[in-house]
Amino acid sequence: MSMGADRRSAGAGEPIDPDVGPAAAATPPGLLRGQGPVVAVVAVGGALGAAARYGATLIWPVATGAFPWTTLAVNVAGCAAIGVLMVLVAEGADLAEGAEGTDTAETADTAETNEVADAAGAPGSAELTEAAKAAELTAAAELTEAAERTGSTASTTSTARRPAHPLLRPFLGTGVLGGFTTFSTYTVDVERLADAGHLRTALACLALTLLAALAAVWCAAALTRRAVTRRRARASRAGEDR
Amino acid sequence: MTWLLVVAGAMIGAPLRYLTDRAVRARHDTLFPWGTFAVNVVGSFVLGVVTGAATAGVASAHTQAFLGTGLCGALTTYSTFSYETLRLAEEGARPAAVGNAVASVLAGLGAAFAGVACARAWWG
Repeated sequence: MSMGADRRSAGAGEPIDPDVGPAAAATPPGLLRGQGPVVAVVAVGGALGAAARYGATLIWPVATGAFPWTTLAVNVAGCAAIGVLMVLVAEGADLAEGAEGTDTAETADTAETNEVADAAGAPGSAELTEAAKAAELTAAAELTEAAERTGSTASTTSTARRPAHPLLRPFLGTGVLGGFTTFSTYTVDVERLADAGHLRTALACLALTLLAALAAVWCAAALTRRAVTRRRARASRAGEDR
Repeated sequence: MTWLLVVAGAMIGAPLRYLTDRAVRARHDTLFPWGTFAVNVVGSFVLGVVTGAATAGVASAHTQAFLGTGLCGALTTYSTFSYETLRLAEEGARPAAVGNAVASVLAGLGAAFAGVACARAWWG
């Protein structure tokens, strides 16, 4: 694996790149060998994500020369969703050991990054809230299930967790969210605005999208890690009481 | 019809991103997410060309939906880019995280400008 840094953060065993699973990293070249199912779910997921993005531009059209709020909202919502997804699907196994260390550091920044996310504007926050709600529901369902399972088998460790289906991450992360968010529309939007003489709007779009997207993924990952850790601690206590 | 073109473009763009990332990763064993960087820059250039062509009147709305919204939209990604940046920062590679964010935005923007300029030169 390419990881040279200290393994001190929550998902330390994971590659930086969410698109490459442990299996892919272990198999050298042979680009397409055994990749059929993954390519298929990435294609279907990408189509769903792109259709959702296209639908958003139909529902919230942006006039030429105006600030491209819709693309910003789509990208920020997608970034928040991948933060939740990657913690639940990819980092789950490592959380028991690593979460405490990173949690403290991230908590300090949460307030600040929240403000940035709020500054993203009305449609952005609306989308974000929706995405967050959906993610919360998924997380809650998963965790309740995990808690029930560990509760009923109190003799085993409370951090035991069923591994996610190997195609879930490529489908949702690489496919749906990768297809939903877009970098090219962002850069070309900025180019169009600058080209038409709307320099201030172009620069605002350039900076605001980047800051809001990074804030969204950061907050979403931190909050999800905290929620997972808390639930597990509770499930663990419940197990010990028995 | 437009929906179908967007979906068809995305069904090419998303797997292309996945396979590019795998190919890059197989050749370069580095911490820096070059695969995502590459697709974002290439996608920005192609969308620049498509947008420039549309302005020049040589690309139809259908071509834009297929190549632009579908293919380039799904080929490039903001979610993976931001998550990789976050992971770099968390792994203690803060300069690489900042470098990834700044370089991706500048190179992508440069590619978009270059794409539009090429379209102007070809069809202007």
